[in-house]
Amino acid sequence: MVRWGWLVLLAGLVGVAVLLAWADSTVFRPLFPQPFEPPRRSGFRPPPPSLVLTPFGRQPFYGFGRVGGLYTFWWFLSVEAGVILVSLAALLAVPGRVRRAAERVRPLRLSAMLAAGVATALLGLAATVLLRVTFVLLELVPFLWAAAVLGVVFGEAALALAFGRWLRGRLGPAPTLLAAVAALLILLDAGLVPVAGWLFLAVTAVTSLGLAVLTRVGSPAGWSLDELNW
Amino acid sequence: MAAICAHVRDQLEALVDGELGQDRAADVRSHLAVCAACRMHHAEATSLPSRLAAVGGPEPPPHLVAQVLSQVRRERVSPLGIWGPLAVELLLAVVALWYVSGLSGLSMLVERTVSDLSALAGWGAGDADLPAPAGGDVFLLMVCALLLVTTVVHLALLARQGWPEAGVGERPRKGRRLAPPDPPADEGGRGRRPAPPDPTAGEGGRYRPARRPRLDSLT
Repeated sequence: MVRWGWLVLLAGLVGVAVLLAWADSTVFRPLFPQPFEPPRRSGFRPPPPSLVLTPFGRQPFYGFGRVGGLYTFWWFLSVEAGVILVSLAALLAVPGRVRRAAERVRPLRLSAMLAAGVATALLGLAATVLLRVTFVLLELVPFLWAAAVLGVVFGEAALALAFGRWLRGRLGPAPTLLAAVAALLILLDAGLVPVAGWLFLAVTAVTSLGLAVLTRVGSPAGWSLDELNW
Repeated sequence: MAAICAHVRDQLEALVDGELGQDRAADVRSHLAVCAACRMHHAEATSLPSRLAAVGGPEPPPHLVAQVLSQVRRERVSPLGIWGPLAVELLLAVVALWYVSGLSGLSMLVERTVSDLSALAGWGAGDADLPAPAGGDVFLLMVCALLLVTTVVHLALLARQGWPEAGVGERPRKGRRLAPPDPPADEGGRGRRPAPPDPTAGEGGRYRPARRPRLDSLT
């Protein structure tokens, strides 16, 4: 039976996510410089006021433009929900591989995973440039990027599983998926902290990619060709 | 302890396992009916913990601890092994970024790649002509090739350090040996026989079932 503490924790994390998304898209957004110029489209007309559906009314989001405001708020929440769903899908699709990868997660090894993730990202960039000029192999570039995204998702799931297991050791027994969801919510809530959250998310994503690469997506034999011998 | 008791206790193991002949089993049971001490030993022999203790387990190889420790040490990645090649890679990446005029040049490169891909997809769908191949800059290609090689070598090093080679519970690789062979039978190894029952054990001594033969010694 799930302890009430877990349910309270999940509800609290969801509440914190909503609050952080709201604060990040309204209060804190104008305080920091925009990393990218907002998109400029000719002929853009803002939607009429009657079509603006806000749960808090128009006033909290008024005056912050397209970067920030209601759209950013919903974007934050939908991205967070999407990452959770995709990570859970990875847990359900390849539970054995995710578990093997999660077993490799140790605090002392996170730096190696981060380094592997950075190296993999740079490898992807270099490979993209080289594949582009070959022209014939240009079709491989989308697959390369898709593999990188899948690696990040797999690594996120493994990190969440390991973090959730650690939480279970602290908070008491709970279903594995529930603990993984709590871990994902904690990671994504931290990612919603203004400015530092983006940095944290980037480091987490790169570390996840490194984890997937180092464990060869949770392969039992790792980077070994022993499996070819039978 | 009477001689008959010692004899019966030696056969308790076979009785519990059902390996005793009918006549002999009947004799042992008849003795158990009249001897409370032997009955106590029989009850202990049939208890689960006693049975599990009798089964025992395979003896660990003599160098198990040393191997585990060496495996753990191998898993530790030195900071130089992690960040050393990464410094070279980041330097190459900075050079490439400088050459393409920073992040704006990089984003333009990505946009052109996407544009080439869409043009190629359009050609494949028959909606457009075959696009011209992208022009390559020799310096940028050299830097990217060097970056590619460096990252591959770095990842190979990290994967080698980060994943244990054939170790505990894994199949040993060809030409490698995890543990020295077991000592011969006369050194107390594979063919070690179970210790004979202690004839000096008194009535109150705990029942010591004979250790079963290990499975690997049967092959």
